[in-house]
Amino acid sequence: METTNIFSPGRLLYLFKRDLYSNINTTIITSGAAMAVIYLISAISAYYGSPSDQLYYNLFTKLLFIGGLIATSTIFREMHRKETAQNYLLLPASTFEKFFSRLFISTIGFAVITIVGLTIISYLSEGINILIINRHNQIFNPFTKEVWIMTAHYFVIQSIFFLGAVYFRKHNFIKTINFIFLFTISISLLGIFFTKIIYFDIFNDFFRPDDAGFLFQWNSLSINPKDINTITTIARTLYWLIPAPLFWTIAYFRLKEAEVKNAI
Amino acid sequence: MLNISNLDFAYKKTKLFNNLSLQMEAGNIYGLLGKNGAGKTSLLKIISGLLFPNTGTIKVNGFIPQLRNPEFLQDIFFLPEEYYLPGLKAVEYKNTYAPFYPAFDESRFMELLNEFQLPTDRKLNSFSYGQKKKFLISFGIACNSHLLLLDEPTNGLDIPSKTQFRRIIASTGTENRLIIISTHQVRDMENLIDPIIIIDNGKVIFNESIERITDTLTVRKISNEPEYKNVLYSEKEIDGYKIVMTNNDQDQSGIELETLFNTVVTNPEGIKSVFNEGTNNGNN
Repeated sequence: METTNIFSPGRLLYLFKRDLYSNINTTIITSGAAMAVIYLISAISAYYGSPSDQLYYNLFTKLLFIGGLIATSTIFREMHRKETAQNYLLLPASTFEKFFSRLFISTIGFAVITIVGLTIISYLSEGINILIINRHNQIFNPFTKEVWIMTAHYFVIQSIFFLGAVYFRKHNFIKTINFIFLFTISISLLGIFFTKIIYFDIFNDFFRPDDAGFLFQWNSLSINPKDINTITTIARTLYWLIPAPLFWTIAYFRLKEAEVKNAI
Repeated sequence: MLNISNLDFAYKKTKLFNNLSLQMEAGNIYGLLGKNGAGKTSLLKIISGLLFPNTGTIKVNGFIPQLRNPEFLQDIFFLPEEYYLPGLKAVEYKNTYAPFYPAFDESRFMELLNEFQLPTDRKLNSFSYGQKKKFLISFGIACNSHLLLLDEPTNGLDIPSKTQFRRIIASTGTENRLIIISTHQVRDMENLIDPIIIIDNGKVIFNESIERITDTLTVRKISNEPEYKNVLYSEKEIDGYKIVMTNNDQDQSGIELETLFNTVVTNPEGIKSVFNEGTNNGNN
């Protein structure tokens, strides 16, 4: 198969252009509403409270994780709706291009727009605050370590919601949250089950609560601090390297298998 | 150009196609007929790669539709019965979607919009159902794709538009292009579609050219109830009976599509034997 059948920069640009044209009204309305709310919060914070140095960073994390994940959950809505599914699936672009364009928009695209947008709004809002009430919050600084670490966390979490966007046909955001909740509970229960089997001596009677709480024989637990460090490093490495590529890959194959009969 | 071989397809447990095989050649405007639920739309969706067959193979110009290769997608256009158009004006739509189709003919597109008298200053989502359909027909033809799939294209069109549609489609057919029209509105398709394919109970029960149909079948009007032995189909009318018979007299008056369809679906075995007989006689 020729590479142009899988990826063509030209076609990808057409896809971006099409997405921009198709969603321009929603984007303008949502951005306008978000800007108004941000200004209001900044004005209230500057006027009533003590001007905050963390205001925009807090807003940034909320915008990224609430706005970004909701936006990601709806990114394949076109494919799941009966009236638009055919139009999307028959669009002459490869599955990879369709996948990549939506992934780019919901990860780098959303993060960049949020960072740049919030920086501009913070300058404008605080400029107005100085003029009107002579007090201001600290301007949003995108060049801090915290902002970039939070953005990286967003990419990891986003990958689950991206898979949910492809996989679920309706109420993608809620269903993905439910899935994460059930998955976490299941993993925890499995963890408890195996821990109890493997470390039987230590956890014996642990699940038999008495008046004093759980019966846990702390003295029997001896873990080398080096081991804890190793486990933490492995867990961290797994967190940064595994989920995002895994969920994105599954999402790609799910997209490849999409048919109109799945649309509702 | 289009080759379907031993196709099986089911919606969950409802089997739709059972070992269906079909070949279609470019240069024709095929009419795909069938009763409600026979699977006409599903077949078009399978051909375009929107649905995947359970078993069997399907190839369009060498491409496997379900892979949805971009080269394949830019060479087909599927006008569905239900569709969505975004809140864009005609030219904006063209600027957004036409780049995906390398053979898109802009002047032909504008010419067709003009012919269908479609406004270019209004957003497409404010168009009526018929206007939207005419817009998509214009866009689809201008794409110059080798495979054009039209599902109930005359539904919702007014009388002048149906005439325009027939004229435009007739002039659109080229040697390299395969057009498949799925329809219930057989009267709108008279003198346009050829060959005729009829599907029923998950199989192709009829696939013949108009020339062969005319050579093989004839329609008579009689005043009394038909008693002829070789009547394939009869239909009571106000002034008597319309009957379909084997054309033994070289009559070239032809048969209306509606009557042909009724004959085929009510007497598939009779039709099969008449056409098989014709084939055997031709071979001899």
